[in-house]
Amino acid sequence: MRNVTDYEDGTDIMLNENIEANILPGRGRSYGAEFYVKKRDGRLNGWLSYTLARTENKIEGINDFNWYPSKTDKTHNLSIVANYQITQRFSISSSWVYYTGNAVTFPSGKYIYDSQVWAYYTERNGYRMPDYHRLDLNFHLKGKEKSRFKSSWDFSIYNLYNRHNAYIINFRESETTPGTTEAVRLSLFGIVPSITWNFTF
Amino acid sequence: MRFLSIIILTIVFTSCEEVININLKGAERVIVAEGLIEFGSNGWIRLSYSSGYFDESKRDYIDNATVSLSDNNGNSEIFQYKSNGMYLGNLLKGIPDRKYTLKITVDNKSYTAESTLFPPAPIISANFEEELFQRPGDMTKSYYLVLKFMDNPFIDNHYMIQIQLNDTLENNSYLLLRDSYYAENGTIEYKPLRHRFVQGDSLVIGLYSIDKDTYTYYNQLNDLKEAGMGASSTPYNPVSNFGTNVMGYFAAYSGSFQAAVVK
Repeated sequence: MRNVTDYEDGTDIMLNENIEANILPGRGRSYGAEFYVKKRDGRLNGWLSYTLARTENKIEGINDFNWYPSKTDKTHNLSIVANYQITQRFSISSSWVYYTGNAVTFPSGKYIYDSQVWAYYTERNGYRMPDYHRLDLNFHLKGKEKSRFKSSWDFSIYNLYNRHNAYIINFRESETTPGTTEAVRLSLFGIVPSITWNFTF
Repeated sequence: MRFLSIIILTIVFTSCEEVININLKGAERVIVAEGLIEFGSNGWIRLSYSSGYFDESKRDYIDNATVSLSDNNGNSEIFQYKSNGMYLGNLLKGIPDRKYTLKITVDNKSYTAESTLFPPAPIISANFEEELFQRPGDMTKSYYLVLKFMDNPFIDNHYMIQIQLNDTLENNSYLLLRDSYYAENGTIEYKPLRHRFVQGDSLVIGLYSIDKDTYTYYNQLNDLKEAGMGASSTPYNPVSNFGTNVMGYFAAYSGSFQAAVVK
């Protein structure tokens, strides 16, 4: 791929009127394989999809002009969806997703300048966020049909095993142990149960 | 708006922050240089090494370096090592409009940095302006600093301001400005809106004339600081004037100072 772009080091992203001046063009390459299996019929149906991929950039002025993973590069991306019709009115479905964490730039060291601690970086996107995975479950109950009025209930659980997937990882000076630095993970949604009532008339 | 509030409240109540263990690659340590020559003073530099990110935050000082300072007028000197990575000059004193070159040699490798010392910008006045919009429930009046100083209209000047409040340096970020945004008829009137003061506060304002590269370097430090040590979309090392293999900076600058009390 030609004319792949990325921000040069030190780009001020906020309120920058000439941000195009900080974008560098270069080359990119992407390769991999995709697999997809689906079972359509029967009381148990669903599908499985898997992608193995690599996406890299090489841009003069970034990462010493060496190939580095693109921000959107995900090595593994697995998705499993299953539905099971228990009775005519009652069904259960679940999905499980797993993918490799995004490529990110984390510090490889630190130093003190002007009495403050600063992070030291060695390579662009040289680290990975922790792998992401999550299981969702849904119970679907159809209501009894009464003339034109139809209804159904969905009892769902998002993130069944309450996995704390990382949304952001920050590096900072420790608040509890002065003189040390720490990594802090911010995760958004843990387990979220929900009930939905659907109706048509 | 109500919908947005519900979304924000949901995220606040469902998000969680945890200190985690994470494996970071051990990087080869690099030299960290912090050097300065000010108007009328001898130069100095402190040399140390970087450390692992989760190591204790104490400096590993360099005591075997050779440091020399020269100017564009043909003068030069070798710095003497004192202690704790500190090397001091005792011959050359900062003179305006001179370009200074600092050379450090560590383990047979040399690194050179240059910086130009600009004349000081005289401070005309340091006054305070009452903030019109008080925070809800806050009955204490707060005030902004209004700093007025002279600016040479024929030179593209850059400035750094440091405020010492009640004997403590306010270093949340470096206050940096370029005259192209503020200058009018040879003067600049600058209001650092982030800094608010109350009656009785005692300030010492330091106004430093810096060169463009020094401005850029400290601007990058500000950028990194505001991004929270790594949370920015493109974290990076600020570009040192010693080159990419050294962290830190050598600056030459001159300062004007003014004391003021909020009345």
